[in-house]
Amino acid sequence: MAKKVGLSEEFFVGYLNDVPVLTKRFLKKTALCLLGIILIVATVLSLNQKPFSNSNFDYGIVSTLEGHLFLKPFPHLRLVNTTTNESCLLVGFGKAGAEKTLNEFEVKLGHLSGKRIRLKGQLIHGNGKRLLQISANDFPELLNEFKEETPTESVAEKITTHEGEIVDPKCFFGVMKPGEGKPHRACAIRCISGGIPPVLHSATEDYLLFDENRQPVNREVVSLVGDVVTLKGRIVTIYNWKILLLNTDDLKRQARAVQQTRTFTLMQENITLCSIK
Amino acid sequence: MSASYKAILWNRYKKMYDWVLLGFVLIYLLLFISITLVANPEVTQETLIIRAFGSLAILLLHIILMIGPLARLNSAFLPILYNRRHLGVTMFCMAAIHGIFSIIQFHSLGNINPIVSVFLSNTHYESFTKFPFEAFGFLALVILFLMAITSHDFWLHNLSPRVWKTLHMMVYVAYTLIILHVLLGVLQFETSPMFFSLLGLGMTSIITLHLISGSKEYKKDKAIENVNGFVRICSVSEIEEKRAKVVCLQDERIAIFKYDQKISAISNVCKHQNGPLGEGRIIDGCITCPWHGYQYLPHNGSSPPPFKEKVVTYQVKVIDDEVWVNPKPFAEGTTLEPAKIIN
Repeated sequence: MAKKVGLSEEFFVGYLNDVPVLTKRFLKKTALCLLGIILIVATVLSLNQKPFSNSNFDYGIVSTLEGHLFLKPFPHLRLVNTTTNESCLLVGFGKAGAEKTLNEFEVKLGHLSGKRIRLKGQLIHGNGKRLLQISANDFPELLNEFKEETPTESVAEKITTHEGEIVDPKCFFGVMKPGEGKPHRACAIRCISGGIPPVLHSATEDYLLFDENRQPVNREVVSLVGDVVTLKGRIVTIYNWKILLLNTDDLKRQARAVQQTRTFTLMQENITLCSIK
Repeated sequence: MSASYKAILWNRYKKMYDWVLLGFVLIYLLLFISITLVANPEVTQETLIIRAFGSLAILLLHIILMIGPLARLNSAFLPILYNRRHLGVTMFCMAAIHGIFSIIQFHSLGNINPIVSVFLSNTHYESFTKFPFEAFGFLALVILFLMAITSHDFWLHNLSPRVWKTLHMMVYVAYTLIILHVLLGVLQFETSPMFFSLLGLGMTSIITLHLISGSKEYKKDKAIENVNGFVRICSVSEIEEKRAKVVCLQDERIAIFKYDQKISAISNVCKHQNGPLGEGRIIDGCITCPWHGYQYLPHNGSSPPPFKEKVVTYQVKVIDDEVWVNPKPFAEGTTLEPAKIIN
């Protein structure tokens, strides 16, 4: 009677073509276990992701919008032919504001602010807002109808306080999902550094951020991007956009506080390291 | 084994291994992508790619890191270890797709170089929770890249086994960096406890398996008393025919083989990838490594021609049915007379 060989008695050599019988059986069972693990992990991970927003970026689809172009305080197109009081925020290609592209348009077409134009670009839409990514290759059509150079606006009487995360509107309103939170912090910093106006995304409203003189605060808010912050300012409404006009001194103080916290944390770590030594 | 350079020494088992691996990769990606699209149809293609490939890379890395200790604890897992480098290169490819897409998505088309942006966009290096997690991922990818491009015997020979092994032990550094990358990145955003649970389970499994297999090896090493000169090891009958007993003398592991009424001792460490020769068998008169089948002649520790691998050899005596070994090694490939077993 042949001696029964156990699994531990078998010896596997990879380059020999015959895999021992019990080893083969063991490998099949192991493969099935691995398959089970793969199915479980894929299912659990995919089902437990946070829901994504229903915002969208019409990548590759060129839309044409008609309206009055305003360059200040932020570049936008006050849309005509719509029943809503809507304005479309303009942004550039990539992580850049629209200013450079609009300057190129003005070099060829002359002063554009307040003029009615037909503009091509790729739409970004979410949270009831629309943005248009414009490109230097898509020159606008000038319609020669002039409006005031500054848009109609209403200014709130009171200064109010708002809590939220500073994001970049291009990603947040549709280009990226998620366009907020820690995974997106670096991207938002690049977008805001590139000239896209920052937005404070609070639980109830999204505010474009400018200083009291309606000048950009991109540089001042960069160290606060991606964190939950509390900002104080006067709200200005320009069509369907709300702007929070911030006190630059307050903003600088807040940025400095972040810097000091960083230095303090570093000092604490240094002290800890010294005591270890 | 190969005496000349070949990109991949294919055999039937390796092909089967790779087909199964490819099947697993495709099943994971298809399942992750299709469930996400059904449950979360608003997802963007870029996010889907970044998450599917990133999570698959981490899963594969966990499997890779478990194979080693599992094979130490149970030799039945050795066939999975045999082609582990293909698994490693596949894992790197998945991680590279994740990394490249993430850099394009989050760091390109900005006002600074995308690679610089990985390190200098978020500069909260002082804070644990705000730490730029991308830096951890990038550094891990660099380590995995170095490991992937040197995952070939050509590099093993040219870098020397010691350097090669040290480089490939960096996988544990890469693993730590990847865990930090996930903990300080996506897990600061995603709130489901399932993510933490799965990651915790994976980490615990890896640490536990390493501790168990490590303690087993430690006990084995400590069981023998180290004495200068010849050391009594065991009785002849305690060693199975065409197999070895492994002992640790003066901090070196020695594999003592019994075959054809003879006893020989050589280093336990295979020249290929430091495989445990003492867990191998004697096949066709050669000690055969259980990891990749590298072979050595028992009396001189040399691979049979045309192969050139050599390991150190040790003097053995059999006195009154007891095996004695001198822990002082002879130069690699030194021929030593095997001790004869007299019944």
